[in-house]
Amino acid sequence: MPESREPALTFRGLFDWLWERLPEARPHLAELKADAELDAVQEGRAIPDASVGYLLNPYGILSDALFWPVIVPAVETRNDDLLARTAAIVEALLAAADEDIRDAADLRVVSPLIGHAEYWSIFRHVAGPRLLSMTPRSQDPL
Amino acid sequence: MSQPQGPPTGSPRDQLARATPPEVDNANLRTVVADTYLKPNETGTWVGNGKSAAALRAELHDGRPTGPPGREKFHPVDVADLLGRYRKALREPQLSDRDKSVILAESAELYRTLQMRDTAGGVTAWLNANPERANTTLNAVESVKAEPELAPVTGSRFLTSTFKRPALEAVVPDAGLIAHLRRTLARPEPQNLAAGAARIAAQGMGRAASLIETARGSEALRPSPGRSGGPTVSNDATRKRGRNGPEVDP
Repeated sequence: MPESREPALTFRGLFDWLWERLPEARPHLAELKADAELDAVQEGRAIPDASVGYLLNPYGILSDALFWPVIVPAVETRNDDLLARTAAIVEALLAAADEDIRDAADLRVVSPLIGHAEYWSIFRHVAGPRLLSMTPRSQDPL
Repeated sequence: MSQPQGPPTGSPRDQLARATPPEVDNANLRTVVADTYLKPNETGTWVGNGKSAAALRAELHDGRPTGPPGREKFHPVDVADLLGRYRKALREPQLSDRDKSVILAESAELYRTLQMRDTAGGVTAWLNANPERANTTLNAVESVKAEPELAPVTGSRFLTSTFKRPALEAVVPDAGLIAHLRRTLARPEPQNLAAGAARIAAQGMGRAASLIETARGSEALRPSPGRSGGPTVSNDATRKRGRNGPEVDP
């Protein structure tokens, strides 16, 4: 078995993991990274190593590089390919071993997805089993 | 469902009427506001008025996570991220007056909540279980304290300059949860960082002065015989290490 080089789906590894998996998120991730590094320099905080994940909150990554700039436009334009790929991303996030990733995905992706009827009415058609299991019965697909 | 369930008991966990998100003009700010409030289609029970800060207040009060059944979680990292995103929203071009007003009001609530005492200790225990949670939360608070436009929220004081970004002069010390995190992580208040930087700079100046004195006192810097004009500087002398200073290249 070859050793896996895929970034870990952890608090610190989320940035690289999403970068690898979703090219549409990259410009937004790059913006987050630039902002975080500028803040660290201006405020005299050290960047301890090459991992920018240290500086970024996974909640912010999922909101500002996945849900609002990628998933919502995919829903609004009914981009089937992107919807399917983001649905797979959501399933992987919800299956993460890291509790922080699951919590962040719940609050910043699942909650706004099923909490807005206009988004859920589209996304539920591509939603995987983990996401569907989090949906209240009243919001189950018809 | 938009009405509270049951009579209020005075606990932060009481379900009150859900708060309504304020109208804003900036599209990016609108996403932050949306993440702060209960979503339109969210049903069942919620804590307080349904906002993220209300969830954290309840958790600080009784030490239990909040959320729909089976999806309960602690909210300090969520609240810290929202606070950081409101601060970033200040950089958006052409914010309207009501946008700025919403940023200040929401930031104030989030900031105050993070500075509340963790009465039950559950939130602190959860944060301490993973130092990255605590670090990320503290980073957000420090960025907000260093933001001149959020001085009405944090009480930070800044030295204004015509040409440069205002420099942080003094901060109001943290309280409650954040003060505890600061002690646990052994991270000083930002103004202490500034003072530390000034000390290092002063020490650097002291070393430079020492080097100059050393160089002045050396033979190599004395005028060489037969030459009128400036001192002759030899490589040996200029490579000489000062008392505390670095090696000097010619």
